[in-house]
Amino acid sequence: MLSAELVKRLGGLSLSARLDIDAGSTLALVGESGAGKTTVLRLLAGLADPDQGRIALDGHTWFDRAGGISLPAWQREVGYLSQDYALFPHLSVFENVAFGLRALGTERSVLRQQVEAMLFRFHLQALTTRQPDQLSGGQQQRVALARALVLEPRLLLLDEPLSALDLKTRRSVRSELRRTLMALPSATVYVTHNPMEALFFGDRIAVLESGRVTQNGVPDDLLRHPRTPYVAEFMGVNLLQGTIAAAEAGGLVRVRTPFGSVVAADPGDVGEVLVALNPREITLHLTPPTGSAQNVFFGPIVELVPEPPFGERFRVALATSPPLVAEVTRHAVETLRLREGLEVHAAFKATGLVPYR
Amino acid sequence: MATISGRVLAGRVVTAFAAAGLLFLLVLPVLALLLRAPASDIVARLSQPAVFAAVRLSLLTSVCAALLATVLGLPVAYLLATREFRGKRVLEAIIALPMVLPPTVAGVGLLLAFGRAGIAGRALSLVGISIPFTTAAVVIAEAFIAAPFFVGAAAAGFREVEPRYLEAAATLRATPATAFFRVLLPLAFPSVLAGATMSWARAIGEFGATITFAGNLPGVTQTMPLAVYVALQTDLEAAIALSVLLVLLSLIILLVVRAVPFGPAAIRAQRRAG
Repeated sequence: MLSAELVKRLGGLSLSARLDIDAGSTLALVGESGAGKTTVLRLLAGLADPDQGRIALDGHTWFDRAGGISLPAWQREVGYLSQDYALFPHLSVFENVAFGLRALGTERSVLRQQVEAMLFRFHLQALTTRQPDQLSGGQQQRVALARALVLEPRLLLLDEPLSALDLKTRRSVRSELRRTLMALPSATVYVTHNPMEALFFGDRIAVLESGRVTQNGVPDDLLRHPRTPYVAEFMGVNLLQGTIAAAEAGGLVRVRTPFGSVVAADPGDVGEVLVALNPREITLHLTPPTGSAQNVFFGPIVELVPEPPFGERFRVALATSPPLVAEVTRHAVETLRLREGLEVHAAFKATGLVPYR
Repeated sequence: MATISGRVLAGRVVTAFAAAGLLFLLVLPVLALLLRAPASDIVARLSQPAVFAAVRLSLLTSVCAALLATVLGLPVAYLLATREFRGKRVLEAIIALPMVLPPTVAGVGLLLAFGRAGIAGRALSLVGISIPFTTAAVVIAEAFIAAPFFVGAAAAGFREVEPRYLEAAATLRATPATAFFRVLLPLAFPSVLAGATMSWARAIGEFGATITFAGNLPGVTQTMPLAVYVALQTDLEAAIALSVLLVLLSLIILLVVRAVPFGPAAIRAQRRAG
């Protein structure tokens, strides 16, 4: 397993992150551009040194500022796929995959056997003599993976491995890559800024915001209990932050937020809480609703976008206070004649809201 | 009707005159040489023993000088291209110095360093080695003048190789030496070869440092440029024949360096661009 504490100042970035990954599992590392995702990978790979911290893998120390240890990249058992794969343009597919084994001085017959097994595993047998510029994006990615995995790294680092591919290739490569990663004995870090990919690949997901890990958990944890506005947006839910103010009748509590209060289910807790709200729980009305919804906010529609499949549902961004995102049916959009600029009442029930800390 | 403003017209006229003037200055001497020498005559002159000896010596020493510049220059070019260190600017200036120094001054410097009473020369004479006025001195003088041409081109070539390839090599267990020989050198090969060729071309034409440091001994240190200078005072036709040969040789080298893509990497790079 990997355990790393990384502190690094680089340009405008101030990174300070702790990561632990079990052998055989994948950590999806997500965050906006400039949050420090690639820097984390470069520090783990040994392409740059942390200012402070420690990197240890299966009990081997790769880096320890205090102990004065810093293994160069070529002494770490690490596989690193940069965003554009960086296949050697002057070497054939076979020679690219053989590169690491040659560097290690592997005996000729063993090398040929291992490279061929790897080419077979990644369906590259027919492309052995091709040069990298004669390959499609998906093929290049498979060569890059084969080139790294033939060395059986203890730690595999993937920097947005699907971003260089077109949409069509991406889907088929994605499933294949997942099968590959699930069968690997190594710890894997999968960097992405795409929520779907993070959920698809990550056994755990760590969120990096301006150099800090703001949430680290299993996908369900992030989906249901996002801890920061960024994570909530990433996972497509509304997030309110507030304080439990008073108990209400019927097992409910009043949560005071900077934008006014909401009524939610009683979590049996007091103090600072977060409340996640599914956009589908919100209904929109032209006049103040009279039904059972305890929470109503008023404001204009700023965005109205149909969602796949078929545009059956619309995503509606509201400039209420707090700003909310609702997801409503096409039927609702048509009967209420919703359009951008129209002022509406957004309502949601208390029972669907469970505050958490 | 489209009218051209007076200023634009004046600009074009000035540019055309400048271009014509420069071409006149550069081409006319070469043309004069080529027009003056009948081909049959040149072959006859070049087969004279004294002239042939100069040609042979020039080829031998210039190839040795280019090899010396390449072998000693490769690590330096690598350091200049990949590392940042204190005094790098100063080192770069020192290495480029022979390109702007009058070659005779370089020759005087070489004498004071490797001459019989020179700093290193005295030590060498103790073990019975004397460099001045030998063929080795010619090679040293030519290498001194030619090395910056190699280092400049090779360092530029190394700088053009994207760091991501070296980083990929490092994560694939390649030591810095392995990464150099299996990634950096192959990818920069066109520039390295062009640099070696340019330094060879410069070595062939070397005159001032050679005559100052190595002297002008026929068969030992009298290279083609020196032979031209000597022949100019006794045998004008031989001087012209040698000059024509030098012009053609230099022109061919320059055309080859410019036109032919060296190595498979360059060919692929061109295909991608096209």
